[in-house]
Amino acid sequence: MDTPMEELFNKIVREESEKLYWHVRRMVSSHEDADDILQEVFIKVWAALPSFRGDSSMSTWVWRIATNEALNFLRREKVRAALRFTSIDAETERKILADPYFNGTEAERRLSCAVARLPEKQRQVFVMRYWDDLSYEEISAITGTSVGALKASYHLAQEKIRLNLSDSNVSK
Amino acid sequence: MTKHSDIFTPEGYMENLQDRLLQIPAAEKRPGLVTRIMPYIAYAASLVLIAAAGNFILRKTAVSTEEVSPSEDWTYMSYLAQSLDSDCMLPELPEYTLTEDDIVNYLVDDGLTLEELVSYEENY
Repeated sequence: MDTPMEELFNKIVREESEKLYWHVRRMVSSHEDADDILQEVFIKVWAALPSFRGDSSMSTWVWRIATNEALNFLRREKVRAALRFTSIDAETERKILADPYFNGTEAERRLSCAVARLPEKQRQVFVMRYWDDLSYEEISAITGTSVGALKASYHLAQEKIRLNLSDSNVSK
Repeated sequence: MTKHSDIFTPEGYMENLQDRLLQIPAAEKRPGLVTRIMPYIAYAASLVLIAAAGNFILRKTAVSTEEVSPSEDWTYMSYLAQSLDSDCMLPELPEYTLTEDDIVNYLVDDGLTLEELVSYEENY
């Protein structure tokens, strides 16, 4: 017999796990890493569930945990790359090119590489807006950033991606 | 058409993922209050124990200067002198046998006169 807490947790898993998987996968560019991170996210959700105060919606709260976990992963990767004297962009690009669970076009692959090169905040906003289809208001609730700042970040991200793609077209 | 059409997951992954995530509450059963605070209690107890043991040892071994009698002080000094005299305190020197020439050279260099030497031989 499930306790009310377990029932709530099960509901979160059924409603959010798939959407969160795609979000984390886009953020970290790897199926294996996304899988590990998602497991961690839901362990944290379960541990913190009794202290959830209801200041935001349950969905917003879970997304906040997931996106923070993904950002922490990216930071750790950046530090690891620095210790090995390698470029994190090159590492991520190598990961995307070798991804066995990718069946898109060359343009889509280049888009993924360009997004992976974005600074983490811009990458987060771009992934949430472009791929996760979240509204600015939803992203604002999750990230705690104002809608205006998010729009500016998204615009900057688009510009950088455009520039990156045109550069890679020229160099082709 | 989904926006994630360019990436995919292994066959049956999503169903498997949900099943795995649903197992988390059973695997991470929340321990009771006593179990949760037990490490802190153990840590605090060990600190108290170390402090008590330290205090006990200090009390047992500490001797105030007034309590040292002159005889104890002398005994210690004798012991120290003995230790300093013992062979173990000296650096190990290479074995060397003194020859007569060595003795002669030493005495001559030291300024011993012939008269002193003769007088020594006569008396001893």
